[in-house]
Amino acid sequence: MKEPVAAKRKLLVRPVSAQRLAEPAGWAIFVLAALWLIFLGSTFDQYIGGLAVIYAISALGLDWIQGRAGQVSIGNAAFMAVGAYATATAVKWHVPTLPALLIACAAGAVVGLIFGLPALRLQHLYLALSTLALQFIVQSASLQYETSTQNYAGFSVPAPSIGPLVLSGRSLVFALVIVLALTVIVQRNLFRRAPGRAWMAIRENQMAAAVIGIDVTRWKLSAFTASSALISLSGGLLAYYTLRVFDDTYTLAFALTFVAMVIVGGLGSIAGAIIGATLITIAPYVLSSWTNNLPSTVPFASWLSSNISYINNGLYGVILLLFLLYQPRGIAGALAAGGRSIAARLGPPAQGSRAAAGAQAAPAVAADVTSRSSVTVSPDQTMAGQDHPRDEARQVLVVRDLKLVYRTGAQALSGVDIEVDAGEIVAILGRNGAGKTSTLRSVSGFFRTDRARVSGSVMFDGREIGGASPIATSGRGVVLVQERDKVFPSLTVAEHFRLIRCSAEARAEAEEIFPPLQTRASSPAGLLSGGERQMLALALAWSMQPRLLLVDELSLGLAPGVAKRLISSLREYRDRTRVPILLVEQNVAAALDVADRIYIMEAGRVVHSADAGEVSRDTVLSLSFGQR
Amino acid sequence: MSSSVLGSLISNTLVLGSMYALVGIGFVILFRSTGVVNFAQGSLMVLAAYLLYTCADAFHLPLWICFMISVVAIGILGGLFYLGMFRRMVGADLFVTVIATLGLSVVVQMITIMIWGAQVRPMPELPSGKPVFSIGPIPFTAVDLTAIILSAVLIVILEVGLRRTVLGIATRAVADSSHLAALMKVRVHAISATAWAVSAMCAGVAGCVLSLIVGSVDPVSIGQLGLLVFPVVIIGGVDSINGALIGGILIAAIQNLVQYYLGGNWVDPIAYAALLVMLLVRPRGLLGSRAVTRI
Repeated sequence: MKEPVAAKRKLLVRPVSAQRLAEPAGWAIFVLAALWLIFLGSTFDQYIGGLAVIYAISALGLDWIQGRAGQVSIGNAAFMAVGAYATATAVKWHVPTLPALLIACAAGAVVGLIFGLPALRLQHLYLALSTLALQFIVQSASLQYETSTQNYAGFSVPAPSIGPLVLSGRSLVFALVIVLALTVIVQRNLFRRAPGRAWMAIRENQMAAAVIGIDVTRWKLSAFTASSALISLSGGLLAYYTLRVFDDTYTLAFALTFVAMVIVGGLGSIAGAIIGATLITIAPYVLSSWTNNLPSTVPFASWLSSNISYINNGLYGVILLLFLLYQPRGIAGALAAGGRSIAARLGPPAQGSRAAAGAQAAPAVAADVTSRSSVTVSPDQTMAGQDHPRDEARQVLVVRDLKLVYRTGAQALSGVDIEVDAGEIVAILGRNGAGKTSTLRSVSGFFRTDRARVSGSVMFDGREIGGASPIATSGRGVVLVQERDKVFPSLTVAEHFRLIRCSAEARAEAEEIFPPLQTRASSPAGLLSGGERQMLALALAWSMQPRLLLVDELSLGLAPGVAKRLISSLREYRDRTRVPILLVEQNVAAALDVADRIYIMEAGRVVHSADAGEVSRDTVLSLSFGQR
Repeated sequence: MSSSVLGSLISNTLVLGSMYALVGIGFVILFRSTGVVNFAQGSLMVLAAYLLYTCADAFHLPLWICFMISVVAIGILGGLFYLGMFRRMVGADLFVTVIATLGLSVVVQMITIMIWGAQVRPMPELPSGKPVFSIGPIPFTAVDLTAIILSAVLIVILEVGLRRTVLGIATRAVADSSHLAALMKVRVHAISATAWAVSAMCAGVAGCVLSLIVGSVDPVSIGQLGLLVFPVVIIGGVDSINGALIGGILIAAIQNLVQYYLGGNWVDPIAYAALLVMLLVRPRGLLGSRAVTRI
C-alpha cells in the first residue's frame, strides 16, 4: 500500500508545477514566434506578421470592453479610423511619430468617452448600437474630411521614425512587437489588480457591484475610454504601417473581424486576443496559398481559386460561427480546459477533492441524531433502512446515484437516490444549497445551453429520462412548477389557459378551487400577487394532466393562510387524481402535513428518508437544519 | 419647397417608411419571441433581391411569382437558421446571439457574392412610374400603392395574429420564458423557427420591393438599408410593433428631408445620430416597454 500512496503524492505535486510552468511557457512561444518573425521571416511574412501585431493591439482593446466589461462593441473600425485620421492630421503639422501616436490615443479617448455615455446606464445591446452609429458617423465624416481637404485618394503618411532612426521592415516589426508587449504588460497588471476586479464584478452583476461600493459609472467609462484609446493607437500604427489613410479601410466588416478575433481567441484572455488576431489575420493568406497549390485534378479546384477572394472576405465570419457553435470559449478556453484535463489525469482535481470534503461533512451532520440516519448515505443502505420494502411495480420515479455539475463547475448533486410511488406525495427537505431544486430540475431536464452535466439514472415509468431536455420530459408527463418563473408575466390569466389548450370544464374546475383566477382572468400574470401566481401555476399544471407533478417551494414567500390553502388543495388534488407529487419545501411543518414520505438533503446527497408520520418536526429540523 | 416636391417627398416617405416598418416588425417579432437581436436582416434582404432577379432573369416567370418564390425561400432559410444554429443557443446570453447574427450576416453576404458575383444586376422592369392616384398634391404610382398596401396588410396580419391566435400567445409565452414554455409543452423550437421564418420573410419582402424600386441589386447597398432597422426600432421601441411602424415612417421622413436639404452624404449619419439621441434621451423608445432597457 505504501508505494501507490507515494506515487500519488508525487502526482499531486506535478500538476501544480505544470500549471505554474504553463503560463511562462505559453508566453515563451509568443516571444519565439516574434523573434522568428523579426530575424528569420521573409519580407512577406514580416508584413503579415506586422499586421497581425497591430490587429492584436486593436483586439486587446476590444477585449477590454467585450471580455472584461461584458459589452458587445462593433466600433473597432471607427476608433481605428479616428486614430488613423488623427495621425494623418498630426503628420501634416509635422508632428513626430511618438507624439502623433499619443494624439491618436487622446482622440480615441475623447470619442470613446462621448460614445460610452449612452451605454453607461444600459447594458449589452446599447453599446453595440451606439458603436454601430459611431461606425456610420465616422465613415461619413472621414469621407467628407477627405473631400473637403481634396485628398480624394486618402492621406499619405511618411514612414515612422524615432529621432533620426527611420523604422521600416525588420526594425518596424520589432517596434510593433515592443508596443504589443508593453500593452500586454500594462493590461496584465491592470486586470490582476483592483481595476480588473471592479470590471469583472460589473460584468458579472452590475447591481451587486454597485451595492458593494464599486462606482459602476466611473469604471465602465474608464474601461471604455482606455480601450478606445488603445484601439485608436492601433489605428495610428496602421496608418504608419501602410503609409496611407483611406476611408474604405475602416468598414463595418473590418470592425467585425475584431469581434471574430476576440471570440475565436477566447473572451477575457490576453493570450486569446493575440492568438485570435493572428489566426484571423493569416487565415486568408494561408487559404490562398493552399488553393493556389492545389493540383487541378482536385474537384472544385478552379472554382475555388476563382472565388478565393470572395471566400477570404467572409472567412472570418465562417471561423467565427464555427467557434460560436462548437468552441464558444475560444482557443484560450479550449487550451485551459485541455490543460485542466491533463492535470486531472495526472492527479486528483481540485474540484473532486472539494466535493469529497462536502460529502464527508454530510454524514457528520447526520451522525449525531438518530442511529438510522447515520447509515443512509449509500443507495443500498437507503434501501435497507426502509421499514417496508418498496413495491417496484408501483414506482413512478426512481432516481439512482444522480450527480449534477453546473457549468460553473459547482457540484450540486453528488449521488442522490429517490423514489416516488404511484399516488404518493413525497417532500424533499433541507437547507438552502442542499440540492433540492437541483434534484427537481435534473428530473425535469436541462437545455443544452444550461451546460449542466447530469449522470446517474432517472427512471420515469420504467423509462430512462436522465439528461433529456424539458421538452422531452414534459412530453412524457413530467410537469414542473418552478420556484420562480412559474407564469408568463406578459400573458393574461385567460391567455395562459388558451396557451395550454385547457378545456372549459377543467378551467371552470380550477376557477372553483381558486376564485381569483376568475376575477383576474384578463389581468397580465406579471401583475398577480405571489399567492395568485402560485394558484395559476398549480391550476395550469393540473390542466396539463401530469403523470408526475414536481413542485418547487410551494409555500415560500406566501402569507401563512394562503400557503395553508394551497397545500391542502395539493393534497385534495392528489386524492382526486392519484397523481404522484414530488415537492420541495422549506416549511417543515407544511411538508410533514402534506407528504406521505420525506427525504432530507444535505450537501448534494440524501442523508435521511422516512415516512412523514413517523418523524417529529424536531427530528426533521435537527436533521436538515442542524438545529436542536 | 413647392407643393409638388412636398407631395413626392411625402409619397417617398410613405413607401420607404412602410418598408422600414416591415423590416422593423420582423426584427421586433424575432426579438420578442426568441430574444435574438438580428443583425443579419440586411443580408437576407440582399439575398431575397438576388433570388427575385434570378427567377425573373433565368426562368422568365411573372414578377409576382418571382416575388412569392423569393419571399418563401427566404422564410424557409430563416427557419433553417434557427433549426441549424440558433436552436443550440436557446437561453444563451444576448451577447452570444448578437455576435452570432453578425457572423451570420458576413457568411450570407459571402455566399451571395460567391453565387452572383459582385457586380450590379438589373431588376425586372416595373410598370410605368406614372402616378395613378393622388391625394391632394401627393402622387402615388401603382408600385407605391402596392408597396404601401402590402406592408399595411402584413403588419395588420402580424399584429392581430400575435395578439389573438393561440400561435401568437405561444410566441409571446416563448418570449417571456422559453424554459417555462417548454415545461408547459409549448413547442418552443417550432414556435421559434416560425418566428425566424416570419421575420426573414418581412426582410425578404422589403428587400425585393426596395430593389425593384431602385431598379438594380448589388451585394452591399440594400444590406446597408437593412442596418437602418436599428434606428427604426430604437426610436419606436425594440419590443413594439406599432413602435416599429412609427419609427419606420419617422426615419424615412428624416432621410427624405435630409436628402432634400443637405444631400445624400448626410442621410446615414443623421439617421444614426437620431439613434444616439434616442439612446440617451429615451432608451426604451417611443412605445417600448420599460423592461427592455434591461437588455
